[in-house]
This record gives sequence, C-alpha cells and structure tokens, in this order.
Amino acid sequence: MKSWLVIGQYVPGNSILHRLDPRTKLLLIFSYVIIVFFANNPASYAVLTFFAIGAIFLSKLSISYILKGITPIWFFIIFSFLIHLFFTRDGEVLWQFQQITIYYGGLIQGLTISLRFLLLIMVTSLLTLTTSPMEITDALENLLAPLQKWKVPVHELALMLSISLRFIPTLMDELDKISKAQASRGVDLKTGSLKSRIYAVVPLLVPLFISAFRRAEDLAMAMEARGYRGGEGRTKLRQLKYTMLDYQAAIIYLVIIIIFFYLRN
Amino acid sequence: MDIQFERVSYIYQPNTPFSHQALHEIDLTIDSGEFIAIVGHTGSGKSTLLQHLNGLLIPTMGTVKIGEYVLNKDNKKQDLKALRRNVGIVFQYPEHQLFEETVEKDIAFGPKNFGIPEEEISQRITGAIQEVGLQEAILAKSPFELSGGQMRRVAIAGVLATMPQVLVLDEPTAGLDPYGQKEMMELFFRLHKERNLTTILVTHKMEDAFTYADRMIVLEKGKKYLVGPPAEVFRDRSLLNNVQLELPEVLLFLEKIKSSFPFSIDYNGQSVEELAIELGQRLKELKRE
Ligand SMILES: Nc1ncnc2c1ncn2[C@@H]1O[C@H](COP(=O)(O)OP(=O)(O)OP(=O)(O)O)[C@@H](O)[C@H]1O
Ligand SMILES: [Mg+2]
Repeated sequence: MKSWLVIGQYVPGNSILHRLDPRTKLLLIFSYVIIVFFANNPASYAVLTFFAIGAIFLSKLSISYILKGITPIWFFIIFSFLIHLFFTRDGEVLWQFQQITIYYGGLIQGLTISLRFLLLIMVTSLLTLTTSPMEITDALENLLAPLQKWKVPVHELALMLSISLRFIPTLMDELDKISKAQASRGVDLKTGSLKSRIYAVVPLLVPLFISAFRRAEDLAMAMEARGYRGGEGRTKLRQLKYTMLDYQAAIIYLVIIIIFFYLRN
Repeated sequence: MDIQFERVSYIYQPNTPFSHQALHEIDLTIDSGEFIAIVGHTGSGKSTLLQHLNGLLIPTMGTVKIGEYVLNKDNKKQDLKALRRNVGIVFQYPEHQLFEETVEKDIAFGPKNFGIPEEEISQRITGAIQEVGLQEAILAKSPFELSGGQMRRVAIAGVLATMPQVLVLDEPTAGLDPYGQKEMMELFFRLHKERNLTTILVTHKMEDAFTYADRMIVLEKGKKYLVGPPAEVFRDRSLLNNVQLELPEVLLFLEKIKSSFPFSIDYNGQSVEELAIELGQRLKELKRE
C-alpha cells in the first residue's frame, strides 16, 4: 500500500487516548469540530491549538507521522490559503505587483482558514488513529440508540458502517494486487495521454468490483450460517463502560471550553 | 536474461508504525535458462521477492539487475515496459485479474499492450489456449462463466501469450485438482525446455521443487536460508523442519524403507507408486532367500 493510504488508519496502542471510551472520544471530538467555528481571535485559536497538540501528545503518536498522514489534505489547505490571500479585499495593502494586490485582511483570513482546516483534520484523524473501526461503530450505535424509538434502524446502519470500514483496507490490498497484475501485463497508469490512462482504469475496476461482490456474497452467507438475524435481542461481547479516565477527560475538556469562551470576543 | 540480487532489502510502508521489513539483504544469482524453485513458510517473503523481478517493487536498499535493467532506489523513473514484456508473472490466484468480455480479448490484452501486431496476436491466442489444455470454443465465452480451474488456465494463457523469456510463477497450481496440478506443472516444464526459459517457481509443494528445479531457494522470515540443488537442500531434514518444511513424499518414503528393512532402494526419479512396486519385488526376493 502507498504510504498516504494509511491516513487515519488505526494504530494499535495503549496510550491514554487509546484507553478512553470511544463514546467519550466521539463526543469530545464532535463538539470540538463545532467549537472550532466559534474561534474568532488569536487567543481562542491558541486554546484550540493547545488542545490539539495536547491530545496528540497524549496519543503517543509522533506529530510528524500525523502531519505526513494528511499529505493529500495539504493541497486543500494551501489552496484555500492562496484563494483568501489573493481574493480578499480588506484592510491595508501589504504588497502590490501588477494586477496582484495582497491585503492585510486577506493574509489574516487565509491564515485562520488554514489553521481551522488543519485543526479539524488533525483532531478528527486522531479519533480514527486511536480508535478501531469496531469501537467507533459500537460507540455510534450506543449513542444513537435512542433514535430507535423513531424507528431509525440504528443497529443496521452501524453494521453497514462497520462492514464498510472493515473492508476498506481489504479492497485497497486487492486493488494493489490487481494493479500489479495488470502492470505486469503492460498496463501503464503513469504515462500516456489522459484518454489512455482513463482506459487503463477499466482492467482495475472490473476485477475490483467482481471481487467486492464475491466478498459481499461470502460474508452474507457466512453471517447467515452463523445464525445472524438482525439486531433484536443481540448482546455485545465487549460492553462499553465509562471509567474514571473518561470523567477526568470530560472535566478537563469542559474547563478548556470555558476558558475558550471566556477568551473569544 | 541473467538475474542478480545484490543485498536487496525491502520494507513495506517505511517510516510508519506499520513498517515491516519483508526482505533482509538477499544476495542471489539466477542464470539464464535455470529452473528455480522458491520455497518457504507462509509470510517468508516469496511473493515480495518475485515482485522485484519486473520492477513492481523497487528495493528499499540494494540493487536488482535483470538483463540490461538496473533497479534500485536511485533510478526509480525508467520505462519498464520492455522489462515487463520479457518477464511474465503469473500471480497467486491469477484468475482475479480477468476483466474482458471474452476469453479471447483477455488473452490478447497483454500482447496488445506490448505492441505485438494483430495477426501475430491471434496466432498466439490459439497457441496459448491449446497449451493450457482448453478448447478453442472457449475463446468466445465470457471469462466469468468459466469454472475456477478454467479461469486459472485462461489467466495463465494470457501470460504465456506475451512469450516472456523469464516466466515467474507464484503458486500457479494452488487450488487446482490433482490431475490439473500435474498437467500444469508438466506444461511449465515443457515450455521451460522448449522455449529455453528462465523459470522461477514459488511453491508449497516440495515434490514440485524436487522434480523440476535445478536449484532451490529456501526463504525464512525474509532471509535467504538455504540455496542449492534440491538433492542437497533435502539432504538435511532437521534444517528444513526448523523452518516448517518437510521433505518430498518420495524421499520420506525412501527414508522409511531404509529404516524398516535390511536394504535400501536407490532413487532415480521414481514416483511413490513405482517405489512401492519395487519394494514389493525386493520383499519377495528377500523371502525367497
Ligand atoms: N502490501 C503489504 N503491506 C505490508 N506488509 C506486507 C504487504 N505485503 C506483504 N506484507 C508482509 O510481508 C511479509 C512477506 O509477505 P509475502 O507476501 O512476500 O509472503 P509469502 O512468502 O508470499 O507468503 P505466502 O506463502 O502466504 O504467499 C508478510 O509478513 C506480509 O505480512
Ligand atoms: Mg505469496
């Protein structure tokens, strides 16, 4: 697999972040994602950045690994920075060259938008890096359980999600194998005209779809053979349980949020 | 084409928590025209090694030389088409690479990519389909309505049709019926002789390595564990058992004879059945005396 395909892939470990209940992580990170949009001055951004860096520190993953994991996102971050830099007309003129004028407001706008983006990506990828897909879906199923009252098929949705997450790496591996096999038969995905490159995708996608369908059929059969018949009355092997750690995390998070709202204008 | 590995190491997903070193400083030389068998426990790096033979993987450290080509970290960007045309790889479960509407088109896919003229391609298709033991009538069918064994044969025909000089086979007979396995191996061996190929076979069947290979390479945890002619490699049983490998059935049988009777039988290519008959005769002689 190419290294950038590893983005957000679960890294097993035993750090504080790994040991938190997945529901706690889900709730904290979900609220963080919303709160990022309330930041409006340097102090409030500083608090959020402090939180993100603290969380990375607690995950025991290296910052460089996380930054590398989001390589494909860098393009968007830099792109949105440049868009704001060049097209916002606000504040003092900082620099002018022929048609290009850069304003102070544009610079600030560009910086804050990219910082926001970076924080969002870093923190959400921390969730998937320290929580296995299984835990994430368990947590979702648990948190969304009340919706069952309104006939939302929570269990089925969670199952679909966990199966999809489970099969992403498998399909990636499969794609890797197929593209190697076709490359050996002379397919060239890296050079040639755009048209020929698009045609070169067919020999990859057809086998990939066929294998995905075959896997789906096998899985359905295996589940039925083992007596799976939906969520009703089904119990869990691993029960989710809040521990002391979760309460501590929640309290610290609340304190940070209070400071945040105190500091923002 | 001569093949040479110089201190080749390969690391999957380097610099990540998932990084895994699959090959450790492998040194190898494979001469043109040799039949090489690579054996080793599952996960020992056999498939990883094979993928270095046509530049699908470039060594993390060290150099692979194949004919004119020099593959290492420093010249990653080169046109590998000519290399891939000359080195045909049959992967594990090659039937998973089929995609065309008809068997004919699928077999033609490789030759077409390598720029072989149309008239010659159709000749090669009929040749290849016969070689793998299928009827020509199958050419018009969709590859997906065939049985697993037939699909495997079609996929192999697709590689044979490009007429490589080096044929690389990754467990080509796994999952075929016993008769089909034998037939396939005989085919590969015949082609090896007829076309004067260099053949590199990965296999879990010690029998195949023993019967067909000029030399064997035993891999263990990504390291070269043993190299040599099968007769030599199979001489030390405990050395092989250490890496979860067994002797071929014939050799085990001979050993058993030697330990249970007051005589031994010399080995010169007999099958287990033939050995059993020979043993019967020897026992009768023994009784008469
Ligand atoms: N794409 C990959 N990413 C990460 N690790 C891999 C990848 N492919 C193989 N490996 C690892 O490299 C090692 C060697 O794998 P390889 O496929 O070469 O084994 P093998 O000898 O062919 O085994 P088998 O007999 O089961 O086919 C294994 O430990 C495997 O887990
Ligand atoms: Mg393999």
